[in-house]
Amino acid sequence: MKLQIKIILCLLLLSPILLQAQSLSVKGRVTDFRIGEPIVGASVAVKGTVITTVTNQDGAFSLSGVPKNATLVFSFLGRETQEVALNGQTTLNVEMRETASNLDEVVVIGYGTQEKRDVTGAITSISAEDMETNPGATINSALQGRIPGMQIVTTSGEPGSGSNIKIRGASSINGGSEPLYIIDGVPMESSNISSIDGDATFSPIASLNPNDIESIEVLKDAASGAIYGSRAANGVVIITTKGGNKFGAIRPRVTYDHTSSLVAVSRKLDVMNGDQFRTAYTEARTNNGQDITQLWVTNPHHPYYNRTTDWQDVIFRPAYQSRHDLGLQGSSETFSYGVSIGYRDLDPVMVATGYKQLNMRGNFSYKLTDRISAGTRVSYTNVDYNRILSSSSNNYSALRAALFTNPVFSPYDPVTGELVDWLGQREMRNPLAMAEKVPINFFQDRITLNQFVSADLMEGLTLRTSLYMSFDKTKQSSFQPKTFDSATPRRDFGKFRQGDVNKFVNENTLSYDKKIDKHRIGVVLGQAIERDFSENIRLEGENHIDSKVTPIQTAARFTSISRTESERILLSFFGRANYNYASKYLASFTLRADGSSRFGSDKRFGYFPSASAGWRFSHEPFMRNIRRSFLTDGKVRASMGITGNQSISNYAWQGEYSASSNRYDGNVIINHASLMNTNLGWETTTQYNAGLDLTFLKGKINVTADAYLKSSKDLLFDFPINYYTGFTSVATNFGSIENRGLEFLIETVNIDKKVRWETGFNISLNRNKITELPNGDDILVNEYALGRIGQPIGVFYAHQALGVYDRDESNVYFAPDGTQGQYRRGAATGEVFKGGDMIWADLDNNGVIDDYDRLIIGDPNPDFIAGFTSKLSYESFSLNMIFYWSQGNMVMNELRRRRNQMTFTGNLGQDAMNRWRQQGDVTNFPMVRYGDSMQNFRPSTFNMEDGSFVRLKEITLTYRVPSDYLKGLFIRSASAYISGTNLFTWSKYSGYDPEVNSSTNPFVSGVDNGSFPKSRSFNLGVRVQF
Amino acid sequence: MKKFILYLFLGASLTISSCNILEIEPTTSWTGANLPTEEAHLYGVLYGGYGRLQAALRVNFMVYGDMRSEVYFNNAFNVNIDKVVANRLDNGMSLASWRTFYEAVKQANIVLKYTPELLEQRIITEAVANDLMGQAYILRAYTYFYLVRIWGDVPLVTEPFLSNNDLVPHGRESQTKVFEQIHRDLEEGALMLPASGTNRTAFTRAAAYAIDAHAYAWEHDYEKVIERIDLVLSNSNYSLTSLYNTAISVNDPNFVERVQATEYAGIFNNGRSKESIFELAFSLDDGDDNQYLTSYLSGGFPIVRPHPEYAETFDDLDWRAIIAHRFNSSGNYTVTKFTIGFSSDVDTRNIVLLRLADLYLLKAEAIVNLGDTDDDRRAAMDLVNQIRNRAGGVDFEIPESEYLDRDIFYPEYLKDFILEERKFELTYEGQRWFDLVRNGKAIEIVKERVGIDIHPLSLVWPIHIEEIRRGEGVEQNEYYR
Repeated sequence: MKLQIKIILCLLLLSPILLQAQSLSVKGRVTDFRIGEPIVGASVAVKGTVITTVTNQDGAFSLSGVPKNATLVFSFLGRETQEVALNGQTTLNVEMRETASNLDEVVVIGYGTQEKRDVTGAITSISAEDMETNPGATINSALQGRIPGMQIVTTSGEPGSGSNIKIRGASSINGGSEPLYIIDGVPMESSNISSIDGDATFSPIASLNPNDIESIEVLKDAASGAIYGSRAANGVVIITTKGGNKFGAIRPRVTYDHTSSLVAVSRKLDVMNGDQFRTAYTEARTNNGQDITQLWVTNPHHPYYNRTTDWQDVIFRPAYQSRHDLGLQGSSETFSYGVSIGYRDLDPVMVATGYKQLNMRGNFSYKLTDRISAGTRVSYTNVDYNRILSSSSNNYSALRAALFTNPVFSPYDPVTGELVDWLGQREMRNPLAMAEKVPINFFQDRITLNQFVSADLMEGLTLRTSLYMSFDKTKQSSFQPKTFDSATPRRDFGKFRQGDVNKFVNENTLSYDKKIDKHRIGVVLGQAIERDFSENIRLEGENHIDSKVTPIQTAARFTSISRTESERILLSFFGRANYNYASKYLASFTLRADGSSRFGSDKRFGYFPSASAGWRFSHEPFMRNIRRSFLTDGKVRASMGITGNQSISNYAWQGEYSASSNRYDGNVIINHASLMNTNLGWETTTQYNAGLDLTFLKGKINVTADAYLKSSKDLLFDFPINYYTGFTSVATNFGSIENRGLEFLIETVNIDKKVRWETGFNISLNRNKITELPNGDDILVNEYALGRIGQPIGVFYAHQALGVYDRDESNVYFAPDGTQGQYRRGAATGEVFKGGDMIWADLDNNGVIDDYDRLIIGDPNPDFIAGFTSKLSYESFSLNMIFYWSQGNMVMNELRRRRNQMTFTGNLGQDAMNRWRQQGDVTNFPMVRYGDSMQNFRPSTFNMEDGSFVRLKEITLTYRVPSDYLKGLFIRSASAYISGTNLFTWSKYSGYDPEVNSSTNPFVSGVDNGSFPKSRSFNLGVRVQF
Repeated sequence: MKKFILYLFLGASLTISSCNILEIEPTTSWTGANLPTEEAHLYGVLYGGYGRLQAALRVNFMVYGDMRSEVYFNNAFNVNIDKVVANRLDNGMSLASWRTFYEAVKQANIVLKYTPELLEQRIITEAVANDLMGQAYILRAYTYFYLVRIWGDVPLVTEPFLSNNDLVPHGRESQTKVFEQIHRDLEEGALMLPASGTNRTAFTRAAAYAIDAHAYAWEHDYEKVIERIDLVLSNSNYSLTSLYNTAISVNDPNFVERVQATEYAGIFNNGRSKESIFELAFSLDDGDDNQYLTSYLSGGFPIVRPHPEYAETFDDLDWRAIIAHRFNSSGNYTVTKFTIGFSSDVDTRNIVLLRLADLYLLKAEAIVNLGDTDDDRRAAMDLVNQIRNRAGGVDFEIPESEYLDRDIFYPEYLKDFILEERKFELTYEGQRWFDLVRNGKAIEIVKERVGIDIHPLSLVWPIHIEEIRRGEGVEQNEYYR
């Protein structure tokens, strides 16, 4: 036997010489099965030989020296591999079909790549074509609905804002539910930048150009993530950018992308008109025992007060947005490159705002010698954003103004028609004038540099060293001119803040990859060091000599000046060993040790091991028949591992004394700002995962299913403590959380004729519960987000509203001893509820409605989330759709609650037209009362709504210009599309958008404080390649 | 292969040397381990304590001290102030939170813990140590005095919380215990500071005695009150400012301006007067502004205005009224006491919390509560008359014949008279509510003058709901349960 093999080998080696006489030259063309377009770059190989080539721009290839009865193998990423017997032909035209899944696809994993068939962890990938088409598209919006187990809630529709992301449920609490982002191998600093007025946050991930992305891998289980150890507890998102990745002769390609969009808010809320509000306001004042002296109420016909303005029409506007992306990519045998420049003009849907983003990137790899190669990646991002205040908690915010501004006013002077700074007779600031005359600027420059060198020390053994640096500078300023101040004499306010974040990463890895017969071994050993340094400068002053040129030195008075620095270092050692036998039996082990400066010396290092195994049972001999007919590939896999989390502030364990920017009597002030906690240590998550990957009918049907159990303990948390300590919280490890869930993904090719129809459906169910709390005590994180053992985190804990007393006499309380009384608020001596007040459930039946009558009224976590994608192609047209579905999550509509409380003069919604007005009224909406002294609008079931929704996230119709039309135009390919983003949302929710989360604290979700509404856009785009 | 070994060696050496690089300390702030180690640190923390007290009282000295009494009505529908003025307090109001007061206690406790340590290490001198500790004791005592007057029983924290291990639950301590601590702190503090201290924006020995006098008065231990006050009266650093002046004619067209330019008006508007014992320093240069003074009292649309019925109780002869407020053509009053000559709405004024005239009248109050002999009356009314003389001249004094006449000045009336005199002298200064409660008159007078019922159990404030929810052992005041 052995001898035979040797002979064959000899023959093969000699074959080119031996067979020369009877060899052929073969040429031909490879085209797409459906539309007949040429396929460029497809590999054509002669089976059993080393003869191979690649198709050119026209899809043509030519091979010489091909044996007469050879078999040609045609393969291309995303296409079914075809084998064609030559049978003496010299011309061969081949049509290739698309596949739904390709097991040869390479998946990027931490510190390496793996073929999809060999993966033993839970990893989902998406590619560039899954990115959304609208100019405002982000990485997160592209991932939403495509990755089972990944819940993404965009917090705001403001450009540059971040999202709340939970991969397999919330497993940590301290602002750290965000996954770890790895961009081209480098961990990204993911802490958000807060705006100068504290009304918004900007995510660093938004600075990445979605058009630069080649692929995104989401690592969900511990075995995949554990190589990233201490930061992988919330999953890992690996992003690979385009170009500079592979060597091989590919001609330069220039690509131009453009999209133009019309964008508008997707929904307007119904507010009261002038007269309705005047009446309601009068009632509210009277109900609070106050006289009405306000001129706008008493003089309804005064020209200042006789309007009905829906301020949403004043503040919101339709906007034109666009993006331009120009890219150049190509490679040779020793040099590979990809450079791009992108420009986005994302004017938000609020008046007087503008957002521009410029992205540049260059990816280069080059071979220095046969054994040494190197790569350089540079990128630059610039954001220039003129904004207005957008949080609803700020009185002067435009968003709040849009809903709450008194409708009787007009933004323009009734006589001259000019824009006024103050409404009425200096009764309130004009939000439109504020928007136009108060400049708030956000400016960001970000540069990243990445250099690596890798050397093949011997066969299979590679040493790689990389150095990465990023420089991120944010400058923010705002200036409020004198005219808007209410003090006498009026002042102006200038604010400036500069933040610098520098990151340095050095990684050294040694990897060994060897295939011996059917055994394949891969080993990675590595060491890394990462340093983050940030600096913040804040300068604030008043009364500048000029209102246009306002550097701090022109201020008459400095109100706040400060500079702070912060630093952290992470030192890591890690290793991984992969083993597989014939891609049938697969195993992988990883171990990472991370040392963090964020913890005290005895808690500093954390160790994060994992193990996983897989079995491709479809390739066992006993499966042979089934495999041929039906099941193309089948794999079961299981993994377990430990990952960590270190998201706590840099010096938390050491305690802090900080100097205040104020002084006392000229003396510097030092405040004891936080408590020391020498016990502070890693938060760890142990996760078990079992999965099944099935491919049927040569990839026509692909199924992936995963089940997991994830337990997190020693959660890092700024735990709220009693005020008498002089502090509000202490950084601590507390409690445990468990998440368990199921995920399914099914991708099918339903029709594969001239019409091709592919669909994908995924659904994931996650059940979260708290398993341990200090002393077993409940914990309330905000007013009503409760932590209780056995319950999901952040369930709403509040009162239950039972209706509204129709008249005073309806308030009757029967005490257990049979006596009769009335329900009271807060205390046995508290005020009695009257007609028009809310009826509350009195759980302890003591006649007093107080804290003890609260119960769990709802869960902000969805029962399930699901995504559905559809791709329909016919000739040159294709129609893509993606739906996202979130079911069973409750939302606390704080925006509605706040305005009904009427703690200030703010317009009400149309729902308040059903309010109780007089004795005998039967309704479910309580009376309005200025200041809400009976707390009818306390957090309760009345303000909680079902936040389930189904959204058509995007629908795109693409037309690809047939290549025949492009001949002689120097255009290689061209396509155009129209699309709509966020076109339809089906939901019962009464606010702007059920997909909402105003909180950045992962413990508190499903709270709608009102944020920059998401917009709907209609897009028109072209894509041309030269 | 050689290269490989070299790399391995490099890697290993990196590993060994690397452990220290994880020792990072903040560069723009201090950790719990490296502060306080110097004199300047301790002073920084002490001034932080003053800063927190300033934050606790910058506007709330009048909210806690005046607004529940008969002085003000809610003019601008501020929701929280509305609740205070109407005596409808609830546990959700931010005013019900004692957080800022305890931040001041926290700072004082740090100074009291570390000063002896630094002294022992000879890093600071004994004089410095005494100065630091003396002030910190008084700061802590004064803060607790506000805490007990506002909330009744309160957690008594006298050791700083430095790490999470120190977080043992503190229940509410009885007022008696808190007062014991207050007196102890004040005695300690007074002795550590020189008798000759002249600072008026920091705590001094005289300030300690003044606070102690008030604390004893709250406990109705009047002998101690007199004892403490006498210690201040004998201090030549403090004397009454002048107001009434025969040289200023009522018919002078600039009469009001001239009265408002007197020494007395200067107590509140220039600061650091000879009468002042302790005042909180505010200055634009420190980053403060006192816009709340105008927004609450005197701006175009002040949050509160004094009831006309209240303002009209001032006698026509009483020049203090000319400084205290102004009658507007629209029929209402505007408080002017703290904003005379304000250059802008954000100008600053020191907030005077303790001054000599207050002690004169407090001593009179103590005397009449101890006995009702003619000599007692003379002693008390002599003090009162000094204050009245300053306010309106000899004509404004109460002649001996009158106040010894027990048909007119029957014993209760005498006490009420002195209480009223305190009202005129200290009006709007954050004393009225505490005066009424101390004398057991709050319920009666608020009912009689503004018609609001106050439940006896609601003389204390509710504890903020967040504190109850977080707290082990912190129970709500009975009325608000």
